[in-house]
Amino acid sequence: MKGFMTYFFEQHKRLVLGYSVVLLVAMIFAVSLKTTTVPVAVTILYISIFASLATVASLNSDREIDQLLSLPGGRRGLVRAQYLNAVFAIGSSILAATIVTALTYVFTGGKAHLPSFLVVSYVISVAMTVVAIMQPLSMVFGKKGLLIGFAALMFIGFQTAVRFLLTNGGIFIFKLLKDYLVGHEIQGISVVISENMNMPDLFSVPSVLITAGTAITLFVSSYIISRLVFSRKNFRVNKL
Amino acid sequence: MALLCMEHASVRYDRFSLDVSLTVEEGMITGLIGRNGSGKTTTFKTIVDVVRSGGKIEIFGKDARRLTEDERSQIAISYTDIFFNGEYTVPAIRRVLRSAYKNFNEAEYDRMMKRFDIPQRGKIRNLSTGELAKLRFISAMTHDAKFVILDEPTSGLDVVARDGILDEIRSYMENHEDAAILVSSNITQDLEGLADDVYMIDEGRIVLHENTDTITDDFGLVKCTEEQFEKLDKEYVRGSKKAPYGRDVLVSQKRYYLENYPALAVEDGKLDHCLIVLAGKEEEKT
Repeated sequence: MKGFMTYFFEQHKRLVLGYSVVLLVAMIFAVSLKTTTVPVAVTILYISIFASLATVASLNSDREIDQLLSLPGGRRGLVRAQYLNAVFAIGSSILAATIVTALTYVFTGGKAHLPSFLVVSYVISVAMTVVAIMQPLSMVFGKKGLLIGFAALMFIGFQTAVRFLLTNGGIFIFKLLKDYLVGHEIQGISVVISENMNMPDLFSVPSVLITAGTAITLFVSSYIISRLVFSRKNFRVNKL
Repeated sequence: MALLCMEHASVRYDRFSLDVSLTVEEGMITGLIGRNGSGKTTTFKTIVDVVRSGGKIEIFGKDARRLTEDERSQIAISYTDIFFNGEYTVPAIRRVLRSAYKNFNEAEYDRMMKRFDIPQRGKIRNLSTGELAKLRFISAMTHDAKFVILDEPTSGLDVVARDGILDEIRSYMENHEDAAILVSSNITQDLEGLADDVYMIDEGRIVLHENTDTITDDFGLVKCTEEQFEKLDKEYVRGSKKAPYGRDVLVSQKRYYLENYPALAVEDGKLDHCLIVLAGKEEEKT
């Protein structure tokens, strides 16, 4: 188990460090030019970080997996380590999203079109989370795992879209009703709506919590399923 | 004492099935020979549970699937073309091995890295074929494992490096008297000078199991025409294969044929002969 963790740490270490340096240099460069295209540059970098992490998460070739399965701990160790690997990937994606968002906001003096940027960040975070979950799933279920992963992706994507529409649609409706409602009394209660109401921040604490909750639910349920599967005798799917 | 005992370890794929029974005794080097695709690597993978199999596999007298992590760390395996990710650096492999194996012997690792002239830095993918083969071998031989599995450790190596590898295998057994090594090789000469016991696998089945000395001392290859083959006493015939001049006949008592058939050419037994005769194409065998 310890060997697996060292292996995965080695796997992520270089990428996280490498991209952090690239990110920092790009940010400094963008700020020194006082350009307002920082969000665009950062978004591209951000995508590249997660694309790379996603690649790494699915990097293990069949041969490499055979080598890893041969380490002490065997398949159980590998699958457990892959789950921890997924947690690491999810954690790093959330951390990177937070850092990039904060830096972008600070460096652009609040001029960045934050909601659009956050939508991109949010979607990438979700995609990354799903990719991270798909890896151990595919380890356990083979092709079935990938299908489950894609189903999860569709579920989260659908949920995101619905939530986005609902929240924005809700505000749109509120804004429409605002002029009518404010100042009126409904059954004796005065309606007061804040004038500062803006589009909701998709990277707000509740939003992140919901995403994280969904991810954790998927993660835990897939782990439980894999444990149940492991307890079955003569289980054979693909390599495992 | 048997460190490994396989009884009908079986795996079934669409175009290949494996059904192997073999034993590896403590203090011995056991060879596994066979053609490409005969099932050598699959056999190794079933032993370490990389490929799930039916039948019985016991290591250290215990079900191979129920070994603890400590017991698993007593098993070392080096594959022909399977290794860690090519993007990893050489020092990273050392760190992984150090954390994976509680008995990882750093001094021994350093000594072998130096002996085989492996670069201490750089990515694995930048190593040459020979360097990679040697690094795989070193990775398996440096944690004082009780049971070592080597899948074609000399494949892709020059004569000097091959000699070095064989030398290391012998000294490992001298220094680890209670250990056992299961080794496969396409270069049968390597095994003749190394293995105490040899199994031959063909199409997923063990077709021969003999003591290596028995093969080299007692076995022989009789070269004869079809007519001579018809008249040949078949008591010690283990198999035969068509040849341009008639037949190559593998016999388990070459002296018998030397004495009783002086007109026939009888060559000393070699693993190559066994492989060519017993693992040849079905239509050419008898």
